[in-house]
Amino acid sequence: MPWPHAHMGTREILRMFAMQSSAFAPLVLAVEFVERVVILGVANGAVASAYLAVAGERRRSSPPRRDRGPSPALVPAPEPDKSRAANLPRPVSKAHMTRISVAETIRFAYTFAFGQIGAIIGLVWLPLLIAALLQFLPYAIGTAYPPDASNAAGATGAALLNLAFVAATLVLYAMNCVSVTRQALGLRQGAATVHFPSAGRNGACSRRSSFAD
Amino acid sequence: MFAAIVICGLITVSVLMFCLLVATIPTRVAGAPDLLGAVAALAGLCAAVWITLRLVFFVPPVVVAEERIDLPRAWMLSRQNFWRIPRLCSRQPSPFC
Repeated sequence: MPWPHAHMGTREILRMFAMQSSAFAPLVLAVEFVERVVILGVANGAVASAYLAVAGERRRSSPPRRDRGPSPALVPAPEPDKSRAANLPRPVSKAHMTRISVAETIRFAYTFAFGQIGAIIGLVWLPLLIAALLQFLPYAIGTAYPPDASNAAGATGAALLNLAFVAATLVLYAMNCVSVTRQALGLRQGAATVHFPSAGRNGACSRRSSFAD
Repeated sequence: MFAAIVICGLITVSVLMFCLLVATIPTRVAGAPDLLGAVAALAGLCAAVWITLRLVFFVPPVVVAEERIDLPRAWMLSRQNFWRIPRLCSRQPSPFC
């Protein structure tokens, strides 16, 4: 007789057994939340560290940037002679020759994720909470499984609603990525209690509504 | 960043579809052996992974730090670092573990 939960992973089986006991349910939710925070911190920290390694100098200890211009680490060196500019090697040509140090990048990623876990939690907890609610909402309002498959209009409406929920969740994950990447790049420093960034021009995070930042 | 994520997703899907479409051309030629089609499909898949990793990996920090979606810049930054990107990804915790 085949194992009835063969389609489930080990983590799903453990979670199912833990969630059946109401005493463990908050613990499982807390572990899930910390897991997502660590994943966000490590992933964005690694990418930010690799970017700083190949794009130029590291500015992790620099003060946060307040102006709206490009990052100072990415501003090319001033060219004294414009007529020779075409013949001079561009700074980016040096940048893409730089190799990523895997060990240093991973070390920075885990140091960033666990060393600044309080700041990361403050940056991401509100979007994560809203995303969790949005993921739960289709099951709450009954659009996850349309009751009548023959009702094409109802199924289409439910599918569109689910698509809207998925898009909103994606926007919230993008907000989290922006916040954590800014923290990892050194463009933002310090702790945060509640943070809810908003998209500005060119899709980048250019304005933020920080309640108690 | 949302636009960057959408663009990255579209790039991934487009590159994968294009590479697999190109790779399956030999299988549609009459008399082509199955092995050739399998090798071509594998090559197309590898090309899709290569293009996607090089295009997508540096997009988030480029968008955040330079405040524009610059795919050529992301492609250029990952030059000579392609084999390090999977090594970096393999050392990170995965939500699918």
